[in-house]
This record gives sequence, structure tokens and C-alpha cells, in this order.
Amino acid sequence: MVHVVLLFLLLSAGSVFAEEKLLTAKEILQNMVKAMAESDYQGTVVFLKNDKLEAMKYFHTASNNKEQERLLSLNSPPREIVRNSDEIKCLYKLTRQVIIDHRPYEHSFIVDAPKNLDELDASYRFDVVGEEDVAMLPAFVVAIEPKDDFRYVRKIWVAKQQFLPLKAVVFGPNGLVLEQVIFTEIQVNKQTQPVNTIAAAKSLLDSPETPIAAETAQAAFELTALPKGFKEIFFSRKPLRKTSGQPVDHLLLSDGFASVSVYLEAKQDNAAADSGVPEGMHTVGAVNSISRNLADAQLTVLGEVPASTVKFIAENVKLRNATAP
Amino acid sequence: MVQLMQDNMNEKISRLIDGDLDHAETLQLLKKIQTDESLRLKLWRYQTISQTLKSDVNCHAGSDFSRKVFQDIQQEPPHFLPQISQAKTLPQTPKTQQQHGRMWLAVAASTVAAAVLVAQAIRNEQNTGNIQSITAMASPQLALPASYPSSTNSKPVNRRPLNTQFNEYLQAHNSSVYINGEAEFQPYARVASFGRE
Repeated sequence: MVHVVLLFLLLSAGSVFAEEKLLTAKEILQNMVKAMAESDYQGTVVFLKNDKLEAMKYFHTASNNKEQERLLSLNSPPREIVRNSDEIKCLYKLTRQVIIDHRPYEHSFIVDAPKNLDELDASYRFDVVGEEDVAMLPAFVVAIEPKDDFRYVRKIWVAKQQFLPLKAVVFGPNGLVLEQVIFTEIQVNKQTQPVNTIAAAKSLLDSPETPIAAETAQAAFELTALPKGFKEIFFSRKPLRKTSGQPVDHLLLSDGFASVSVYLEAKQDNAAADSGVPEGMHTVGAVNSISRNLADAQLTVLGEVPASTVKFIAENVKLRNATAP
Repeated sequence: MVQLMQDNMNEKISRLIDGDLDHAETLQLLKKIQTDESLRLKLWRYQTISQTLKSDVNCHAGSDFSRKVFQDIQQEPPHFLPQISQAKTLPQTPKTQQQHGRMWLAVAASTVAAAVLVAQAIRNEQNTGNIQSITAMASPQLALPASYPSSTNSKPVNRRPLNTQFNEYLQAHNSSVYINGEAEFQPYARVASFGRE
């Protein structure tokens, strides 16, 4: 009888193991995207971005196909950031001011993974490279490895039960960690109501929500070549800098995981030159940027990609009519 | 009051590691650290945490590592130069030739060891940012952990956002500046005050 029970347990364990093995890396990531959109969860998250370390309380609610993300800072300056669909509100509690921004191309503060991973086959390999515990939860370790040198290696730790992302890391050359987002504790399916703490600001706004997207054809520049897998996602022409009201052309490119922005604006006069981006390469965490003069305009390309990628893109930008925006 | 000063000092050490202190503040803080063992240990702990978070790898060395190396060097008898001059002036007997060979073997081994240490220091430099140049300038004899490289920074790129335009571009690029609390009020973003009493 004991043998029969042992055999049954072994078979059960074997079947569970086989079920886990059946999940490919892509399936795990697809489950993750679905779980992120449908689950209520909250916890404490540590962000390492742009060489800065931040710990924040995180809340995610999903109801009626609407998601809300909310971040509460644990350190100064005290602030609250709320994402409702494509709108981000950042409330600075000391000054009692709120910034309202629109980002139709972003979906999550934790991991922005594309829904259709098959489109990324030309650029990335997806592999399950192990299992580890994060925030005391067992997780699949999914490696997203580029097939060329135009992007960074990423790893995402996905909870085995809930399929929520527990940790995401962007690795530079030699395995150096450039960016990291990690839950230190997480509670899933904890019912929380979507907050509306900064709705009061809404009534003070004198203008309706302003869509800012424009046609790419309006851009003063065009790209003669792009690294494989990168697509044009979003274009806008708007005053970008508070120090000058002149419009800046902004084109956002993405390969699904990595994004690159191309900015073109008329060159600044000498008085404002000290606040401009100096020519050449710059690096902040995972972000590389390159800036150069293009006729009477200044071109800046930046993104979470290797320096060679922003250089390649910058070298393939040309003005349409040899005039800045 | 004491607690407030301590919190202030902790914040300054944290900002030093992040590279957020200006030049004058950095020099002032490093002078204090040089004379205060507890601050030195605190700096070392903060740096260790930061390095571990960034690289998942930590080179563990005591806070008095560089002091011990310095003391050992001071106590080391001057072997090489006198022997070299002696070897040049004395006739080359088989014994002196053998000693000469050993000496060059030791020099070669030392050179290889130095090359390995320099390579490790360059690798570590990627983890520690630009703090090392400020540290070296402020106090060459400061007993810092071994993870602080001592070589000069030879990176071809700048590793910090140097001006407001870069930050404005970064803010338009993604929401990381909101997370970092560095978001500025942009002309394209709508700004409102609320609940002002």
C-alpha cells in the first residue's frame, strides 16, 4: 500500500514537472502580459534606473478592462505617480503640484512587454534559463537574448503561480546590471479600489486632454536605415523644453523591449548653449545618447540600447528639406 | 539634534555614492570621512550595497585594506634597486647570474600580478562611476575599500546627465524620471496646483 502511495506521489510530481516544462519562454511571457492586465496586486518595488535607486510602494488594479498603476515614494521628494491607461499624473506633495502627461506607448512601470512576441523573433531569442525565488515566491527565469549587438540582454523573473513579473534586469556588456526592477514583497489579488486622490487637479485644468501625436511625415527629418526590428512608434512636434518655447520633433522607435528617441530642434543661441546637450556620446545607466549638429539643427538620439545603436541611428538621420522644425 | 546631524551625514554619504554632491561638498565630506572611522565604515557599507545591487557581484575587502597595504609597503626592504645597481657593477659570476635571473623572474611575476590587479580595477571602475577621481583628488591617502579603483578615469563617454536639456529629453522618452523624482514641469505636460490652503 505504501508503495502504491509513493508511486502515486512520484507520478503526480512528475506530471506537475512535465506541465511546467511544457511552458516555453514565450508562453510564460504571454501569461505574464495577461496576468499583469487582469490581476490586482501590490507590493514594494525597488527601481534602479538612470543610475538612481528608488524604493516605492506599488499598487495595480484592474477592473472593467481598465488598469491603474500607482506608485508612492518612500523617499524624498514625496510624490505619487498614477498611470491610468496612457495618462500619467505625478503629484508632488510638498508643492501640491501635479504634472499630467500622456504616454500612449507605455503600459507599465514594471515591465513593458509586447503582446505579440512572435514579431520579435528576428531580434530576440527567448529561453527559460532557470527557476529562482524572488520576494519569497518561486519564479521562472526567462532570458531575452538579442540576436545582434543592437540591443541589451534582459531577464525577467515571472512568478510560477501568478505569472506576475517579480524582477526584471537589463544587462550591459560583460553582464553588468544597467537597470533593475524588483519586488521585495508582493501581495496578489488583494482588493484595492482605484484611487482618485489627485482628481481635484482635474477641475483646475483649463484645457481638455490634448492628444499630442502627429504624422511621422511631418517630421523635419527622415531615417534612411534602422537596426533590424526597430519600428516607428510615435511622433510629435511640440515645445519640449521649458527654457525655450521652440518646437522639438520627437520620434520614438521601439523593437518591442528597447526604445530609442530621436530629437531634432533648431540650434540654441549662445545664451542658452550652456543648457544644451554637448556633442558626443553620453551614458546614464542603460541609456546611451549621442548628439550632433545637422545643418542648423541639433540632433539627439537616446535610448536604452548600446552606444553603437544610437550612433547607427544618428548616422542615418537626414533632413527632409534641410531645415529644422 | 544629534539624530538630525547623523541623518544628514547618511544622506550626504548616499549622495556621494550617487555622484550627486557638488565639488565643495564632496571635499568637505571626504575630509570628515578621513578622520572618522565610523563614517569610513558607513561609506564602505553603502558602497557595498550599491555595488551588489548594481552588479550582483561584490568584492569583499576590509575598510582598512589600503592602510594595511600601505604599511606593508613601508616595511618592505628595498630589494630591487640596490641589487640592480650591484649587478651592474659586480662581475657576473655563476652565483650572481643565478641571483640576477631570480630577480628578473620576481620582477616579471610582479608585473603580471600588477597587470591582473589593474585589469580588475578597470572592471570595478564600471561599478563605481566617477567617484574615484573625486576621492583621489581630495585625499590620496584616504583608506578606501579595495573596490574603489585608483586609476584615472579614461572613459570616452560622460556617465552623468550634465544639463537640463538631457533630463528634458529623458522625461519625454520614458517615465523613469517620474520614478526618480527628477521630473520637471514641461511645457507639453499640463500642470496644476491643487488643494492649496
